[in-house]
Amino acid sequence: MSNAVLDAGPLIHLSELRALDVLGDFQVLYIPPVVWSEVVHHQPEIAGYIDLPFEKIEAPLVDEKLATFAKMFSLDLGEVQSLAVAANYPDALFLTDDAAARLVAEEFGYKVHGTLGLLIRAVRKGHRSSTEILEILRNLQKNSSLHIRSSLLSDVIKKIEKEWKSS
Amino acid sequence: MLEFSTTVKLPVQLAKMAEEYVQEGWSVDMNSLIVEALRRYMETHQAQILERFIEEDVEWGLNGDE
Repeated sequence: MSNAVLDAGPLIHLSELRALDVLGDFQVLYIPPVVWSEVVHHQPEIAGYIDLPFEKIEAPLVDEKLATFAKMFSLDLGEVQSLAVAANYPDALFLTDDAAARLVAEEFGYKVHGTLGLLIRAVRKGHRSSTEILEILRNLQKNSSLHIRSSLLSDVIKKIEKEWKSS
Repeated sequence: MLEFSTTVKLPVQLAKMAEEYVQEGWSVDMNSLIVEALRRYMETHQAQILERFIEEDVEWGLNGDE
């Protein structure tokens, strides 16, 4: 079982897509209070979602390197706090949908993924059927605030459809 | 402003061109020139970066080994 440190994006997007259950197999989901507040602000119903192993954890002091990258990449407070928490859990996945936060996380050597990967992974992990995930992906732009270029999303859907048909 | 310091090795020809830009007044100094170049690189490569992230997520989703 894996642990993960969460930025707000995946929680908000998965909540919008009614797919928070795809996080169900993580052992611990670390989340700074400031990120939690941001998520609850956007998706109040998540506060009552008790089936996930959230652990709210205060971020340690932001070191100079992270502070510099935060400035360079215009990261918001939640992203910075999540990255600061991730420093204490180097084996955990870092989950974000923000490109700048993801670039910085890569710079720090973290394994980073986002909502799209979590949804597709849910089939591999047996949380959801391929049919369910394809349906979610086809309606992704209508039902969530996650922005993926339409043609790119179509290519992704075609690719995974092909993979899942052949397996 | 907080700053992060690093060392980069430039090909000689590229370094000469950069120095000429600075001498001609296109940039205050070599540091500013490189920061501006990096900023522009980030802006122009944003689409490719996003596509790479999506490809990585698809691959991890399908075949990740965690």
